[in-house]
Amino acid sequence: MNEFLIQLLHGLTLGALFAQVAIGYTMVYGIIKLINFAHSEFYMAGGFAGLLSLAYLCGPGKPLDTLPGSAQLLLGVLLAGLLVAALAVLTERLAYRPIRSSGRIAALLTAVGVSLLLQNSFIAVFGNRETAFPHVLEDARYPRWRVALDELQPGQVSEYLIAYRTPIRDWKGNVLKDANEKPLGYSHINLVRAGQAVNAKNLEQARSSSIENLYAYPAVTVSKKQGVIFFSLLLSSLALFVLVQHTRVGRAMRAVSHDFETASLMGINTSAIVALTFAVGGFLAGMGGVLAGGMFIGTVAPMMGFMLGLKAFVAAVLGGIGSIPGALLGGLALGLVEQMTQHYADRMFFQGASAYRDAIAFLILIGILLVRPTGLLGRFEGEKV
Amino acid sequence: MLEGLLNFPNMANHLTLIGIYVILALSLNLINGSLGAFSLGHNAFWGMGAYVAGMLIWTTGSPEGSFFGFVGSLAAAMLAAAFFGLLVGIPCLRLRGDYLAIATLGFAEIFVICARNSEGWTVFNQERGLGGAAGFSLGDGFQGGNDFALSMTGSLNGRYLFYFAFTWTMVALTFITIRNVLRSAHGRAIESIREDETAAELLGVNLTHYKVLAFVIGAAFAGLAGALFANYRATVSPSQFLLMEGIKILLMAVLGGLGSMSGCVVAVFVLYVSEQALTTLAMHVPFLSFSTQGFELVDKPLKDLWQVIFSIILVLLMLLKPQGLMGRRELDRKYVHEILVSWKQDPILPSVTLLQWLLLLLTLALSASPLSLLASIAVVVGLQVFKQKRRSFRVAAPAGGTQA
Amino acid sequence: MKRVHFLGIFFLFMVALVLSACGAGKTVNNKTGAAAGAGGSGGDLAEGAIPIGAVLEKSGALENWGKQSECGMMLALEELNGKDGITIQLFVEDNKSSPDQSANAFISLANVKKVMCVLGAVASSNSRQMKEQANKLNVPQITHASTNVQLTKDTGWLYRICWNDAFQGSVCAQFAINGLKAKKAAIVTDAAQDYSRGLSRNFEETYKSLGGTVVEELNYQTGDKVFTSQVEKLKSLDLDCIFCSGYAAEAALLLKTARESGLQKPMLGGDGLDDPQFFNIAGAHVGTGVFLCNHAHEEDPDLRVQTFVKKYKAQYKEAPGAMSFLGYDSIYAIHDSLKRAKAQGAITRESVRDAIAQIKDLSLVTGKITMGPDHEVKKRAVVVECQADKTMKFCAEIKP
Repeated sequence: MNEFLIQLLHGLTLGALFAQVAIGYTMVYGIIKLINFAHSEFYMAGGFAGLLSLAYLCGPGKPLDTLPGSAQLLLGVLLAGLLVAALAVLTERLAYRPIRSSGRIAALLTAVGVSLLLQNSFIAVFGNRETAFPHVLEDARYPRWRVALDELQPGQVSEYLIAYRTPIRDWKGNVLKDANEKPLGYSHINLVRAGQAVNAKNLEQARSSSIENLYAYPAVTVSKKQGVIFFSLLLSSLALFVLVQHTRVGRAMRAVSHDFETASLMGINTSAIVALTFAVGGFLAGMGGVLAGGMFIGTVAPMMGFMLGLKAFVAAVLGGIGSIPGALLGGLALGLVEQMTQHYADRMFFQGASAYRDAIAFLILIGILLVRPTGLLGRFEGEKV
Repeated sequence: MLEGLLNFPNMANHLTLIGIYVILALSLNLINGSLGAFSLGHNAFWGMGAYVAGMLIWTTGSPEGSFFGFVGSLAAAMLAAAFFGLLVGIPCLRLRGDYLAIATLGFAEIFVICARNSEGWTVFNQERGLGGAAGFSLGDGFQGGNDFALSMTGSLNGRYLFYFAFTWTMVALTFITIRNVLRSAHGRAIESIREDETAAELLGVNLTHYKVLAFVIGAAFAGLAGALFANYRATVSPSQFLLMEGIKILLMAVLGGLGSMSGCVVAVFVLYVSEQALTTLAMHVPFLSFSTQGFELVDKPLKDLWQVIFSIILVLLMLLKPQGLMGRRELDRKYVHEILVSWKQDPILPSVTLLQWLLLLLTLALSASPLSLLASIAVVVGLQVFKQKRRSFRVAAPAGGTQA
Repeated sequence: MKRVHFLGIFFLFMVALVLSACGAGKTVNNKTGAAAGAGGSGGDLAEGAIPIGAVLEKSGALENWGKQSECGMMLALEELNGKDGITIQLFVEDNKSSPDQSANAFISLANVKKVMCVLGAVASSNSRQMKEQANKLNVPQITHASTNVQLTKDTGWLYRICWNDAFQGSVCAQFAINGLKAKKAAIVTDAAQDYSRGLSRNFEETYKSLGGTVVEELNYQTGDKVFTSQVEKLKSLDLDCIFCSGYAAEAALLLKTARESGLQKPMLGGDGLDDPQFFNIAGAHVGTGVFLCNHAHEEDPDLRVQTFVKKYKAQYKEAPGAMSFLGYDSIYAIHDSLKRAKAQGAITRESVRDAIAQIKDLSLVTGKITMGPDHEVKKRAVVVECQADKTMKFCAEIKP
């Protein structure tokens, strides 16, 4: 049961990442009926924008390096979001606006071309490899409560997992430090597992290392990074909800997505609204890039957007393309399905079944398109003669 | 590289590959151009044909190979790919442009994933599966043999000649077949679906029948190309049929003009030749590069930037000339006649075009400095403006004969 | 818009092709310091020089390894220039890490440059394509780095001068049992790479035969970033070590996720982990017990190795990787074969092939090799431990 809950949480985290990117797909489709293939590259560009912001502003010796880690991360996220929003507006201006009247296929091909262009340019500049993201957020798992080292006796059975954090050392035992004399990173070491007895050797090792606080954890924990991802999704969705439902601009966006021509007849500046939609979608994707690639995974790479973008698109279609709550729902659902497949397929079906995990996502896509093309929460659009 | 051009096996190799790509582009053109659908998964049909052909030859092979085996593999590949096209086409019938694109993309990705994990699939062969991510060689277990072309012609050059001739015979066959289909009532029905689906349905065109027909025919010829590829290369592996290949074929069809078959042929030549030629250029351009030290301007050889150039070509093509090189026109006598007439009317325009191209290509070929490239691009753009002005001037003045 | 004159385009592209041939006559000055006499594929054959081709991954996903190989080859060329009356002229082609381009490059080298032998490639899937062409074109091929076991089967022309995945798997298994004293291991495989699957299978066979137990087999795909499922499963098991047979990028992320979740067991891998990316991604966690099986290591006290390492560092300003060692060795191997072929008569592709098959007790920086009848060599492997300062510490040497 605990295993299931842990995987559930991981699945929801993955789903939150999908949802953040899926919102962008769905908003752009709702407004101009275009599948923006380049959206996955916005996510990737966000990761790199965050990397560069942090490197140039918060690196050692740079102006803002004294800020606490979480503030640095926030700054990175906001800057990345803004930069990618600018990129999105630029793309719309240069590549999508001229072909708006040229038909669906031309628009799709342009989107494919822009996506390839961004991918390959980043590969040319950054190399087709993973670049490490600066480590700014110290991870921790919650709930947890402190335990004193003196309380523990060898042979004592512990109800909970007790672990401590210790700086990473080299093979001689010296703590590894970076340029600012801070430890390069931390390792978690389990002192005793739930339901097991305390081992004298482990206790001795703990006493001799410079541990920072001994904590007891229950079986199911949520980590700080997961929390940040959930919280950012929640915040973005709330902000988006307020924007779309309770502001004039939001009303204009809804109007344009409902009927493009009539909206412009009502005096709405449709070009500006389209640009705004791209900007918002791009902002969210950029945030996703920093949070997912930078913070959660720890590396950014030019190809990181490809698979994730494809799956986020599947999520958008699953939830109903054109509907923002649909994108949220679809993203979370797809994340859960993927995590559960990866974890349980080997046991449930046959050894090696988890390798077909991506195929499952595409089967879901095809299934949804056949059975209910408007998605779970979408509206039915009749074909006009 | 001149010696490369004049070397027979090398040229035969390149021309055979060009032939295979032409078949692929033509088959995609039927689906994307004539039917007006948007299929992004053509690499899956290609791969399906290659796998089936390869498997057949491998399981029924002998050290000398056999002609029946070869032809049989082609037929089996076409059938299998056609069946796969049926499988893909039927569900995708009701889907419109964007959704169709993604659905076909999904099918193609599923194919690649299954191919990668196919090690244990002992469907055809009890000892070994389909090779998984590594693929398999047609000569595995035959001491490098099982190549009917080699044993039939007896020499290596003969093998290259055979495949070159056979592939281009297949190209001609494909071309003629698709052209005949398009000229027949079936073809008109297919094209009517492209023009206006609802109107076609109202006029009694059976949408299901013709959409599936287009998919099946397109997939069958892609399978043919796959079978030729598998026999020629004598190995089959999933990495030969990735999504990127599908997009390359799409670009070839789009560059030629969706709906124009001769356009496909021209576009394949243009893209393939430019890709190969670019790799021999010595030009270096200063390019941004990011390393642990930060940004710096490095001298990158132009050929490393081929992928970037390729994507720029696609975007510019869609922005400036979405109908491709030839739109929907075919390279027939009327077209040639029109061109000759317009050349006769105003000889300056084609000579200026010639000048533009010569300048651009000479700069790329001879120069090693990006500054000269920029200068020549500026001159080319200037000449283009001159041509536009001249053309509008000529249009304003009364002119006889057919006008462009 | 302007109507494109297709005939003109056709004509002009042919012109361009011809002209670019002239343009490519200039020698290209590589950033890797190309030695004179190896001016890329555009150079002409010098007087009395023997043309040898090399197909390497100089761009694309595996460009690191291709470039390292080339650097090693160039260094060897400089040292061997003209020795024993043999002057090698090397023509290097880039296969862009793609199997189809490898085949094209091989055909071009064999027919246009008329090389006596082709070296390469690094990745087994690329070498496989070249092997097919080698079989048909009757050109000997030496692969210095491809470890797939199937490569040396069914061929009269492909020879391998490094060890293969079967040996590598057994080396890892032996080290796991003897070096790490690990009786229970979990195997994590990259299901999308044949290299990884083959290595995992070979490890499993030897490990079980030596008395170890495989407690779990897990999969991931190339390009995966999230390893939460695999790590959770591993955490719940009672195991002594983790064997990860994939490439560096994913293995590093697996390591990071594991260490940050409290899983401190040592990790063992194959030569796919020998990549600067591994250090970049895993950060400081590399020093927490990561072992890999490799072809050679810098601290080898052998004089030849030390000389090589010093020279390499002086010329290229970076430490040599395993591919550099192997590239260097491939030139020595072909030089030795050419010498013997010349002594026995004329240098033809057949005589070169026979000479390669008869390589005996050749001393290279990666060990002493003798070519076996199965086109393989028996060579020693080293197991090294990664250090946080991006170097490798020697742990064990395992002989065949």
